[in-house]
Amino acid sequence: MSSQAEYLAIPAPDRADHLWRYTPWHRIHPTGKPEEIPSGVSPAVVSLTMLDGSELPAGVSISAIEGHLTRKNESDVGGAFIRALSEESAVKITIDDGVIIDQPLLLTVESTGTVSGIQIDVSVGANSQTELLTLIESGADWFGLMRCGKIDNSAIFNDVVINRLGASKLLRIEQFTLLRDAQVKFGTVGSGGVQTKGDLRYILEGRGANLQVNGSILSAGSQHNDHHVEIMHEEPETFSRLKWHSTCGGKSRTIGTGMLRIAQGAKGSDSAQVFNNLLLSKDAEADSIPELEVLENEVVGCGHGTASGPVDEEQMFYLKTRGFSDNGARGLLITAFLNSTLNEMGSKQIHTWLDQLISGGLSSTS
Amino acid sequence: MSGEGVVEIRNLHVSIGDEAILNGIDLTMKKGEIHALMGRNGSGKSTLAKVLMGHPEYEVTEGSVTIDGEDILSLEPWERARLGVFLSFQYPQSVPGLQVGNFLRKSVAAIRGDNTPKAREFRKELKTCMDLLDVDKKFLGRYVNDGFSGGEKKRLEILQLMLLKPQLAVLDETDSGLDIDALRTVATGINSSVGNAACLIITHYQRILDHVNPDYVHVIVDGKIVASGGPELALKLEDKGYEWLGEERVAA
Ligand SMILES: Nc1ncnc2c1ncn2[C@@H]1O[C@H](COP(=O)(O)OP(=O)(O)OP(=O)(O)O)[C@@H](O)[C@H]1O
Ligand SMILES: [Mg+2]
Repeated sequence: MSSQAEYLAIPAPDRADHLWRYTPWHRIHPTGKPEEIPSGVSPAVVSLTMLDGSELPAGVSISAIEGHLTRKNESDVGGAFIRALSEESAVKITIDDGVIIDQPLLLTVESTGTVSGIQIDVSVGANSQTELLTLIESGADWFGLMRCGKIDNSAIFNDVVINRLGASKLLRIEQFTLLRDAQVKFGTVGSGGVQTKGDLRYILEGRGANLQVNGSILSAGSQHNDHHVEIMHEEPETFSRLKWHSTCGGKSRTIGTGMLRIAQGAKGSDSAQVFNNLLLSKDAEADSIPELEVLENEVVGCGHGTASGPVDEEQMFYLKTRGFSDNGARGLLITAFLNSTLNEMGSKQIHTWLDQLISGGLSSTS
Repeated sequence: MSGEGVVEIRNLHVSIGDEAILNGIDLTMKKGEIHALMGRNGSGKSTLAKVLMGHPEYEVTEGSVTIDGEDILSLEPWERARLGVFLSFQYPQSVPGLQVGNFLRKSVAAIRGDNTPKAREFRKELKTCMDLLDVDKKFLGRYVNDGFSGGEKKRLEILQLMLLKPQLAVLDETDSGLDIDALRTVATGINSSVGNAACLIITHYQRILDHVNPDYVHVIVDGKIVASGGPELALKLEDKGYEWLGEERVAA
């Protein structure tokens, strides 16, 4: 079956489905008509370098592949749709076993044309130690990004995806599998795009795998940001932390849904998820829904929580007594709120780089 | 701050909602003077401290506070801070995500304005203060008061006092929760930075006054200063508690 036929064979998802409750499939679909697959899709232009612009070291490569990335779940309408669009636009990034580099890799992804999409396969070798920044930049009105990958035994890997799209819609579909003792941090920094639907899944498939997922989402204007994060503990002694911070300004709508699954037999699993929303305007709306499915009795923890509220007045007062004006104090608290997840995302080099990138975007939050 | 540094609190009445908390505070403090303010729990000490700083929850219903004749009650908290009013909080706020180093640098720039030291000078000054307070360099990378022990919070407040060089320093129970060594260290910090300030130390205990010697001691009861004297007053309170004050007032 062709990818197009495969997509068309999947029924449009029901709104009762947790995943599609806040952003029904037709709303993120480029034409609003789920039965259509746009033609004339443009490929995305990608480039992979070291953060300072220098060439890739030995053991790290990027190459074009055929676009057949798939995820574990059936009826993956988002994944099937991106596959149907981007057969010709797919790359594989390979980090060989044992590669250790002291500088992050930077992947820039630029969408072109009206509708654009790409599939990225990421293969991280055993015992490697690397960081990958993915910067998604403007171009197309609609962009589909699908990333799948495997983090091999004992690899240490930090991954950050930064959404810097302008007036575009983004559908982001992702699935990563962590093998034994892999130590991985996935970060999402969102400040761009008019509408984002993220469906991010992480599978702890090896004993001792350690996962941290962090989000720093800046919603402003009339943005609609919907992220669904699913974490599956399939093996014993696995560890995960999800921390998702969103600032919600203007008339924006921010949604964070989590699904934490601990499979039977995943003894000693330790996991926690928390969604925090900082409400910056009366008209902004935020929903966070963490959900649990725990099929194993012997777990260390599976905490979850959510909190939404405006800027704290006592914190404001404290900062004002230290000389910060109303706006200054407020700006500092907003930055701090986003920083508390941003700072968890990777090395110091990444923070510095992100800090510079983001400080420009903050002026538009109120 | 080049002024005379005279702080005058006149007939200050403060309420929150319908409840009067301060009932006519009168207090004059001059540059270089250390005043201790003592009183039972709930007598209004922190309220006075926060009102001096401009906390929005409290309503001043009567009276005035001036520094060198200039009214400060109409100023925003940050304007007061820039004028040189500083409060070391009884319960400092934590700000997760805001690193101490970054916070201090920005706050010094906001308050000292044109007199802000250059980056290198600032680092030097910061190091001197941190050494004096026996604060580890790692402190700078932590988030403001986030997960700090009681003693660490108080040290950070005093570190700010040292860097911000106010002309009116109000220290609200900076000594509570400090062990003996920490108390001595923090007192050294206070002494090093209040020489040019009017300083109001709010405390329950004589022990900090052994290290930071007050010129005057005041006792507050139900939102009013009922007794003022020299350092001996603090000793008497330590010895006899607050009961006798009621009697004396009745007797007077
Ligand atoms: N924000 C507030 N809302 C309601 N009541 C308040 C508020 N702030 C202070 N009060 C009340 O005012 C009174 C004085 O409180 P304040 O905190 O000034 O006392 P204090 O002298 O500092 O006490 P302590 O020694 O326990 O720190 C108390 O009865 C307190 O409950
Ligand atoms: Mg108090």
